[in-house]
Amino acid sequence: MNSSGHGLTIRGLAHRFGEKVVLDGIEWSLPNTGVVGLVGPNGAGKTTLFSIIAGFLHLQQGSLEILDAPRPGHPRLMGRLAVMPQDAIFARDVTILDQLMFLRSLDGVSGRRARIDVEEAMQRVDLEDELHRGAAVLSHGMGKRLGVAQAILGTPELVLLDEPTAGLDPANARQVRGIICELGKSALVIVSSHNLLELQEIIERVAIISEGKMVASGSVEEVTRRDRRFELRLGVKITSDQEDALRSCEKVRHISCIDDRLTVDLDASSEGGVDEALTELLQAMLKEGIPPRELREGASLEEAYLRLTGDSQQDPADR
Amino acid sequence: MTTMLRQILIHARNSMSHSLRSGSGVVFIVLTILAGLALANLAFAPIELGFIELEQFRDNAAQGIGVVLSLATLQQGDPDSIVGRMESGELVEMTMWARYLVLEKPMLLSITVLLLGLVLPLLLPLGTYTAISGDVQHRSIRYLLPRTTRSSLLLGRLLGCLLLAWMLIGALMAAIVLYLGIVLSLDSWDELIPWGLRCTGALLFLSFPYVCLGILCSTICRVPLVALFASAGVAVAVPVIAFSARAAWEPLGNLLYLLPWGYSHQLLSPDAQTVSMAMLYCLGHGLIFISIAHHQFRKADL
Repeated sequence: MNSSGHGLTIRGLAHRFGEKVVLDGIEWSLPNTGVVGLVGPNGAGKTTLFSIIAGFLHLQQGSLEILDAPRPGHPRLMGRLAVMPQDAIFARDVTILDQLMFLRSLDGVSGRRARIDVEEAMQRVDLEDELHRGAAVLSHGMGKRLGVAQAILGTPELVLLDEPTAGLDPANARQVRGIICELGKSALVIVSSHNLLELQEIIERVAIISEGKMVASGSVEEVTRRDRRFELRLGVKITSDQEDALRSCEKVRHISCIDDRLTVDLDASSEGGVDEALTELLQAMLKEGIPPRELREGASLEEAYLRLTGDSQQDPADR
Repeated sequence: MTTMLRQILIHARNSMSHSLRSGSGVVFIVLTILAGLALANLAFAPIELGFIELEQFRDNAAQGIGVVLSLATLQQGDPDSIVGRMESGELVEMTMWARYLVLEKPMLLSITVLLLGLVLPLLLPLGTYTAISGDVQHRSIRYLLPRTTRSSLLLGRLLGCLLLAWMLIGALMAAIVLYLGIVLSLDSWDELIPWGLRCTGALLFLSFPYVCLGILCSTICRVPLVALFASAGVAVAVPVIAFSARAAWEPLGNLLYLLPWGYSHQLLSPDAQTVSMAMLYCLGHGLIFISIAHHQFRKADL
């Protein structure tokens, strides 16, 4: 915990590569525990922000307090911060056991204790059978899981995971999501991902970064308050007149219908919030004689993301 | 401090064990041993195969070493004129020094060590070029940095490379001394062992600045092969440029001192004070290189 009582506090962070400004005026405070999502388009500055927090890149402007350390890369952070970088690879010609034992020994744990920790971490990502092999034999997905295993070695207090489930099959992705949720109970876990649906399942807080600026941050509820998407399955196919009638509702921001499936984006920014907006929609549907068979909350984070990053042309409902 | 020391030792051990398993490390070990034995064979062969009489070989070696020492100490003139000046007694110090190496000490060992001193600067980069750049290129350094300080990593890798180089030099010298004592038997063990230890010490000191130079290049260059060519290239370019430039303007010959080329021969001087100074220069040179490497590595974006 740092002096402000947070796990991570960033003030006025700016970073540039040559003339190009990649981060500008980032302010971010995060608690000691929990799972936080960091999302943004490609090139928005997510990996740069991760790299600065992890101490890979030097701080050019602004300040960072990480746990109780006054700056990234501070010796006090050694062994307490774990990172799963997006593009790092393990040595191909050294066994995975040796590589993870070496990393654990840097934390000050060696011998039998280190071996137990390594085996435990590898079991959690379902790679215990690969311990005595080199990283050369691992597939892309296995390599990703190995990256997660090294990040959860020991008891890190801050974990940075850059695209941890990219390229994983559904079963392994679910396993990794479970590990992240578990980690978030005792540590602050920051996850960068483009899979917003998946992210929405596991995070409590989110920050959206676009063109180097943090355009939104807070709890998922706060960030998505304005943008609540619902997906409804209907018993009948609606007519264009019925669709127009629903579209004319005050709280309906966007509506699209494919066969018997209706996707509706609601404006939940008013005092009544999402409940009021949803009530208005359902009343309008019943009035039009379209009883919903199934209703489920959709990717509201995705909607907020697209609105905040100006990528709304990518909205799948529009395609 | 204890944590830093522990981490330095862990990095050193890991660096050494990785060298024994990785392709580049094995190439370094095999090439150093092969080159060392080849140079020793080059020195021993004329005597061993009976191409030349021992006394004649001794005279020729004294003259050859005298010329080399004169050139290394930036004496004026070409090799022929240096021979003339040595015979006329003008370069008495060089003559005495050369005679000390071939008459007072085991000649074949002295010649082999002088040859090794010329070749080691080209071999040592093979043991250091991936020390930092290998991890930077593959980004595996990003797994290490959250767990270790940059200083520990750099110093640990330096120590690992240095220990490996020293072990190789020690093993090579032990093999050469054993061969000279058992197979050739030109000198007694009483002469061979102390001189062998002294020569090994000289090579260990000489290797320090070149290993540091290799680490510096591996820190500055992010691509391992570029780091290799940079450190080997600098080691070759300095004497070539120094001697070429000297022909244009005498003081430019001092460029030789950018690397230990200008004083490395003094490690085998008969004068103890000269040897001590050469050892200090080697340490100083190495410390300068590693300080620059440390500064670069600490502020590098990785």
